[in-house]
Amino acid sequence: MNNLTKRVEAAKEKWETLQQNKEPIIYIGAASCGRAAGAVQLLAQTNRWLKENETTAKVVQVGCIGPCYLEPLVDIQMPGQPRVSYNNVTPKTLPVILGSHVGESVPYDKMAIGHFGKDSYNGIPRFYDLPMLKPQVRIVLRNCGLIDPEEIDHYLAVDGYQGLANALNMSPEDVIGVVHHAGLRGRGGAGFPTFKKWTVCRNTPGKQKYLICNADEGDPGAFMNRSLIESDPHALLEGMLIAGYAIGASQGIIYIRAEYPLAIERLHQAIGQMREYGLLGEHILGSDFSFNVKLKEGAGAFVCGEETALIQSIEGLRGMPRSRPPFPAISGLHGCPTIINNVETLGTLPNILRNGADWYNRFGKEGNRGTKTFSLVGKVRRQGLIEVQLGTTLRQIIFDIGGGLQKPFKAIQTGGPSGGCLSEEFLDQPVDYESLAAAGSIMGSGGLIVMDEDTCIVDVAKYFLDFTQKESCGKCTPCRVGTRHILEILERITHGEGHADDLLALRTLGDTIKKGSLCGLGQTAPNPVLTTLRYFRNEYLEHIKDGRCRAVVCKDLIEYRVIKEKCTGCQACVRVCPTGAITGPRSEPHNVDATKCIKCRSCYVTCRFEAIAGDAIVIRSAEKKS
Amino acid sequence: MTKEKMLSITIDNKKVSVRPNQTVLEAARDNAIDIPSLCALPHLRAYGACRLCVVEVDGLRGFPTSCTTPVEDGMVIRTDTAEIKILRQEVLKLVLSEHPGSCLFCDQAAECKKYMGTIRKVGVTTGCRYCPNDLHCELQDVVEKVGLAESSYPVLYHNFPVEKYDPFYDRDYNLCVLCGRCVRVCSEVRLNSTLSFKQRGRLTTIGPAFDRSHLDAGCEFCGACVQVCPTGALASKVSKWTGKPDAETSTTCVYCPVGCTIRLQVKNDQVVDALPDYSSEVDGGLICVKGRFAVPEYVNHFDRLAKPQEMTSMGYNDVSWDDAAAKAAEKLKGLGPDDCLFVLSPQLSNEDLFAAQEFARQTVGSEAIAPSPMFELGDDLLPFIDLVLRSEPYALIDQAQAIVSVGFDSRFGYTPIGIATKKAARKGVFLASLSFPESNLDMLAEVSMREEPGRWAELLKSLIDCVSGSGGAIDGDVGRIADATRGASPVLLIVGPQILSAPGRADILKALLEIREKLSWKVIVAHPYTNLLGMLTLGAFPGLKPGDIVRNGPSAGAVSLRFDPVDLNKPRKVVYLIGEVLPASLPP
Repeated sequence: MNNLTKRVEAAKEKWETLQQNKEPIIYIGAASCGRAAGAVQLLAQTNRWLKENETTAKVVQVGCIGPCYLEPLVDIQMPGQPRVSYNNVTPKTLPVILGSHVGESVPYDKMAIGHFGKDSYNGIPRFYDLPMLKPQVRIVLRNCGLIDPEEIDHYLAVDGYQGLANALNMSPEDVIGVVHHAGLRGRGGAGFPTFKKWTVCRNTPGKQKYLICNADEGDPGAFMNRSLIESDPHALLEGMLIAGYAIGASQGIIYIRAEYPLAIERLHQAIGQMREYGLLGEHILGSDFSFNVKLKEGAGAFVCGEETALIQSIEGLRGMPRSRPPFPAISGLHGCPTIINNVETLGTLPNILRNGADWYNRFGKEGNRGTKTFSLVGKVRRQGLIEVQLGTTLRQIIFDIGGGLQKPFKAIQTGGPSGGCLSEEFLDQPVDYESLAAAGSIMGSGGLIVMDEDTCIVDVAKYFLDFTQKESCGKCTPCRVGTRHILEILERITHGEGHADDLLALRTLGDTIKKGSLCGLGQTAPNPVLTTLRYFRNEYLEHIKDGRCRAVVCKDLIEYRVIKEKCTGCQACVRVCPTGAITGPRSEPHNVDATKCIKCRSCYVTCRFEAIAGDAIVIRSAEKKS
Repeated sequence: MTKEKMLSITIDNKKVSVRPNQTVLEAARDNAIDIPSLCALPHLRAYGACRLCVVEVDGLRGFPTSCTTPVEDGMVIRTDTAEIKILRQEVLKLVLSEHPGSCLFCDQAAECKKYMGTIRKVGVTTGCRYCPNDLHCELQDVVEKVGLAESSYPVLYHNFPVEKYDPFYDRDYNLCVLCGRCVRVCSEVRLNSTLSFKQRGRLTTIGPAFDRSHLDAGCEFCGACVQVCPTGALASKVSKWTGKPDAETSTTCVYCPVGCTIRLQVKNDQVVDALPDYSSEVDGGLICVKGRFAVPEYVNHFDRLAKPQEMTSMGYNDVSWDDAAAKAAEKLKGLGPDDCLFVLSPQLSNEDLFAAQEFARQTVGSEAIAPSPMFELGDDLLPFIDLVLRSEPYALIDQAQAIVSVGFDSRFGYTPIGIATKKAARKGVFLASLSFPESNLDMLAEVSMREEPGRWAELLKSLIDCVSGSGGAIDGDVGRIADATRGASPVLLIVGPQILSAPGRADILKALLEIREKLSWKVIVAHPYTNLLGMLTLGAFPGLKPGDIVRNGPSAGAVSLRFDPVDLNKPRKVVYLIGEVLPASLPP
């Protein structure tokens, strides 16, 4: 214990020094999302600027603070001044910002989005008062974007591993009791009470037990787990130690998808640092608890996020799910009692064990305690990774945090390929496990995709079924064959070849697949279809009966036309058309040849945003085939 | 012996008493409730893939599969509600939507079956040749059981090419319903793992991984997969189109001394197939390619003589049995004992062997009986027989603490021994293999030595020295074997047929005997002379009378065996081949 206390003291001193910086600090958001937006180039540019201007400054790469739509984010903290955050920095604007804020100690407030100080500063709002951040309760994500994920000392300084220290001072049963009292439910999607699974495992006799972290995160577009690991890997690792202690496991395994190389690198680094600090191995922090962590990379299969398929994959077998019973908590990896928890579930544990169950109960509501991270994407103005209390309504998330939509709201998809699309009537529903399930969807791992009138709901259902059909492991008939049939029907409908009895067939197939499938992939695969049928039936009927796609997305049902009265003949569209379908002499209204048009939208977009006329091209439903 | 406590369950409103440690499916079938299933099999682990055996169980969510649910006391089960019936039919419709079901849907099915045979000069059969399993197909049975009458789902034909360029069995994966039985039997029962699921989603299919050929992937052509396939996807070439057998006879295979039980499938008095018997105490159903596929192919081969023939100046002439006997008797009349040589085959039955030596000794008065091993082994015959006489039953492999195999490969023979060895190695028992060029045990062997047979005697000698501590190499493979076997008991030495054709055979046999005597290892000999023990017992050796070996006691071994010398090179008036071919070493 003394060892860690000393280190914590040293770390806190280090952190204080950082906060009371004597030289400028430049923070650059360099997690995968930041990098995708161009952070690496900005990093290099910053280093060059500092050299050229003979300025010494500390450059810290931090993780993701949440508002992805503002990336790349560059924060500057001058001595004696609060940290100021600049959004959507480009190679052009970076030198201006650096010149002003670092060069002359004057924040460039025109381009600043917020600051991290206490009071108002230079007319710049507080970052946490921004409408996207204010309603959020950041518990799991508390360190993301603020600390350097490659510095264990930063984590220690912000009370990291205190949760573990508290846990080791209790009996494992008491730790389970705390988690019980806190009401923590599995954040991977099912929402099963975490303490229940742990209790079964704890009570199953066995010398060797395993704790597995499910970091496969297969839902397309989901990145909650990736962000957390890249920005704050120790939060996950501390959580694993707490869980391992509670269930009596001596070996932890992180099953992480190979498509997350930065996260994998950060984990390897963090594990090495833990070993140095005596936080892994034998007699951790001087207790009787010994634990080791290793990584196992996935190989590109969505089904390996299912717990029994995950176990098969770790065992070196083909990732196909097994029937239950026996449940993994009793007989899992190599036949030993095994607990599999999601990254976020584990990432929440340090906070619960550090601050207590009563503290955690302040958030959320009865039966749905605490907070949940969500990836809010789609047609909202402010997209990114958010964390809110369970029970927050969809309206609050979409409009208060997300800033609403530009066009009228149509639907929100929750839970990825296992979830469903909910219509406007559900906007005031609280986001909790039961409410979403009652509506026919699921909470899932936290994907929220907002859609407006430009989204074809049948196309969305088709997209998800295409995904689940390709990812089906092939073991059981209903999923392997049933999803293929559903996909074929949806493809016909989107091509304008739907039949009158297709909707009944979709329901029957959906029912069979839900009831008959072996694992969660199959059992939830029909959800996108079944919910869209329930709440957007008319759109299906329009496709089938009228051959019309009201969102003008399904290519076989739409055509592109020039409004002669508006067209000025500027030729902007002619230049971008890849097939030469749109033609016309200069200064005369143009024409679209439907036989050549591949409906790529280039002319539409160009006319809208760059041409003189602005709105001369429309996409309309095609003439109904007789 | 404590009697198992029976459990009480309610199934379809009937209260019954069932044994513990079984699945709901098994318990139901024991009580005349036949829940349909395609992927469950008694000797395979519970799998739950086809989803046809779904039931409702109070207290369990949804529709659990009865093949994976163990019975518990007080369970309430419903197997036949309206919802379950519909679910089963829907699942079956999905199965059939990937399986060309002409046998079910063809309008001409009834008419077609009337015209199966045809009178023509050429032996041609008409009738549907779409699928070899018609009329004896498990999928057809399930369709009937589930009561499916129609399906409107469009059928997907995968258009896989039929794989028929390997011997013994064909594979048409267009008929495959992905029940997984073949993959499981290959992996769990045969411990071979040649087959695996490939790809996923709509592209899922079955075959050796990485698109290797079956031979390259280690397939032993044992046919276990063919037997468990519920559709016509896997079909034995020889029995493919013969239809449902009308009789079955159990018999013993004659290809090697293991003597596995094979169940001959008979149709119209012809042997059409040979199947394993999983309840056999001799082999547990683990027969090899020879018993499984060679038997029906050879039995019906057109080259096989079925009538007596006499060679004349114009070639071979068919004669009647009576004529043949008379002509042979003429040739043998009045011969002296030295004028004949009787060459016997080790594949003869005990009765045939007794009759043969009786004829030689009593009728002709000759002791010139030469079993073919005599020709092949020469001076090594006695040491070899010594090894064989003290060969242990292979059940001992289960208790071995270490196993060393010399010249043994169980791919195409002696498979019960090979599989028992693999099982032991998987459990962690030390296994070493010495063979050339390779053995199928190499993959599981901790030490696998691929050495030229010429070196084996010297390697064995150095092993003996090493284990008994009297010098010898301590590094290398031999050292590792010595370390693992020193102090272990029992250590099993499996001797395979490769030693019989090895150069330096005499020295190898000497070393093996020394291992048995000096190191007290238990020996199991796998050799090709099927009824060698029968020959020894029934006196089919020169100078050995019937029963001698039994009279002298089992511990006598080869030490007291003494055969009369027979001059194999002396020209004779008559060479009587009984079950054998002319040994190459005989003078013309």
